Amino acid sequence: MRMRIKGTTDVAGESGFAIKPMDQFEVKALFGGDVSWYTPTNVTLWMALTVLAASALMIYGARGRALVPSRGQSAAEMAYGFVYKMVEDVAGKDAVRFFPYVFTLFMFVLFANLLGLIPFAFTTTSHIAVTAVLAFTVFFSVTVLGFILHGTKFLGLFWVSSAPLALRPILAVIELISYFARPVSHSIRLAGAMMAGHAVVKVFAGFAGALGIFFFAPILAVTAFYALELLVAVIQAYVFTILTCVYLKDALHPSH
Amino acid sequence: MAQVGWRMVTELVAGLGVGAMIGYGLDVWLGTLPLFLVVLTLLGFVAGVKTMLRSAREFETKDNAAPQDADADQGDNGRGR
Repeated sequence: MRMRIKGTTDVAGESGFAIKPMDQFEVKALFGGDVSWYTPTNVTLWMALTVLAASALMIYGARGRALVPSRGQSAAEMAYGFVYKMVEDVAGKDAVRFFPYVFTLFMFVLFANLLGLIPFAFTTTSHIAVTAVLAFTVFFSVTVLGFILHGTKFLGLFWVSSAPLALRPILAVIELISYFARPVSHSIRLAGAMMAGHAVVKVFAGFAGALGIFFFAPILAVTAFYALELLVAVIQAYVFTILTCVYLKDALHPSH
Repeated sequence: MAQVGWRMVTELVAGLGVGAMIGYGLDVWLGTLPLFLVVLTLLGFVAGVKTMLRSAREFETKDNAAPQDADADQGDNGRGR
């Protein structure tokens, strides 16, 4: 039996077996018609659900304000404390005033990743368009913040005063490039990890149809991989947040 | 850990890519096609390696000096060289 990877139309008919791991990432209009910038699509739907789920945990889950927390309140408090400590440890005590932004980012990415793991769900963070917006927002706000707080001294981030004078212009170009590479690696990492994981799950799931009597082997593999994906979803949200904190630290303390 | 490796790989590739893109943009703008593309791609590679080493050092200090992380925060300011 031949299998076809990705999108080839099946003409053989009776074998009817094709793995299309990338079809799950297709952006579709919810109510039909062409996709334009204002069209409600499955991305819109799942982003709205992400916001709803995160709000539900933080508002509804923590509504009791009990001394002995319920499960929901406990989870909300743990997420809050975890991110708060991260901001404090990585970016410093004076970065705590930007905690609401960092925490919002963390919750959005975390819930987008986790909701994407529900079968038939759409993973919004698997699209670079989504993660790039998040990463560039961080990039621009951190850059503007650096200039507001330090004025032109913020450019000292690129001027390595500990190096010999002749080397400094070259080092400045290198530092500048690595500064502009930040939003690129920031966004590609998240989208890449989410996309790769979901595609692999689909490929394995496709094998189940091909193996006949041994269909259980790929299903077991998918089950194991799903657990890994759960880990990756949380870790990628964590990595995205901690990098935001690192960039925030550079804006608050630009000196080398 | 896998995510550490992935983070370094993307940093390396992003540095290279951004350097090449800036170089190409400058070349198209100034009409000096191969010059800045070559120079800035190389510099972008250096920048990628530098960022990669920086995050490697970050993980190292985090792993080694986990109990005394207040000190590690201060010592990390001289990062990069």
